[in-house]
Amino acid sequence: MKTNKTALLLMAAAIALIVLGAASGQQTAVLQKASQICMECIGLG
Amino acid sequence: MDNRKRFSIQAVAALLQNANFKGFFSGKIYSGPLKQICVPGLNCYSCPGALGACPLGSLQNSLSALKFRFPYYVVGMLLFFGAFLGRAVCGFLCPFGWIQELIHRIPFFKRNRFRADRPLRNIKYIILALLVIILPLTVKLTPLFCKYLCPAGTSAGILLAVNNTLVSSRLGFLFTWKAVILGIILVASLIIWRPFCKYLCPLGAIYGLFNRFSLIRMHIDPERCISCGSCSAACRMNIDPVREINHAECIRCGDCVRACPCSALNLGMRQKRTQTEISPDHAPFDAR
Repeated sequence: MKTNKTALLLMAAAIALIVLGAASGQQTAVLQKASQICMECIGLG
Repeated sequence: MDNRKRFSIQAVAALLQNANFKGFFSGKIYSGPLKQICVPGLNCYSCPGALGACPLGSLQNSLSALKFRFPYYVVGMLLFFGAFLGRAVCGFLCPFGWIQELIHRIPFFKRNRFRADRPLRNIKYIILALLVIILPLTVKLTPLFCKYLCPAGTSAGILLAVNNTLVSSRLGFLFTWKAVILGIILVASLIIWRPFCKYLCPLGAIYGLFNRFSLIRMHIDPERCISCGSCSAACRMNIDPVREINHAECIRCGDCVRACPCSALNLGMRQKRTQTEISPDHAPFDAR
């Protein structure tokens, strides 16, 4: 019974991308947008 | 796993992703550090209860930023959830999917299999390509899927408007448009099982691409399968698990696993090989 190596490889790549994004401050942009009421999302335009 | 366990996991996941309970009464959203982490399911970050960021909203905002930078962080999160769980996210962790299932439990006329079902499923890939990726890249500062379609955002707007006069005083045409879409989806959920997930959800479309590769996935033991058709009759996403195991539409709800009289199917990291014999008393699953 083999473990799915493709999934593990993709998950490792995902973690690398998250670290790369976090290192360049992209999580701050996510936080900035998510911590304010998104007018488009709630239907106020 | 029995369906009650899955239901409990869905309820706990919905609660955990919306654990800012005081927001429901104050009409204000949570703005702490957890909001920099994307949640796996469709859960609007403007919901007063939301503790995390919506991955689709975050992706659109990154793509529609004035100065484009490849969104490594958000793509990494989506890739992680997809590679780990595939569409098990839809079946276990998505609050909006759970809401549709709850509505579908209400006794009403049910019709889950019809001719247009398969072609309609392609709409979500068109929405993903156009509203989530291509148009946000060209129309700056506008998350088009969130703005014109997302029912989770509309639900968030309704919840906010209850206790936030600034929001309730500004409701206009766009809100009415989105409320109509939400209404259609909720009414359709009475009749069809998870219609938004089947036909419209671009997040499900993304996770579906990983279904074949994800760590947690469906397995079939061909030696045990007797091709009785119980699994395909039980599948409310209308796929045949024997022919299309880990199909992009499979949300890993486990209906097929429970319906199989031979224990030929299982959900997990590896194929389960059981030593138990087929029970002669086990009747095939009653088709819905």
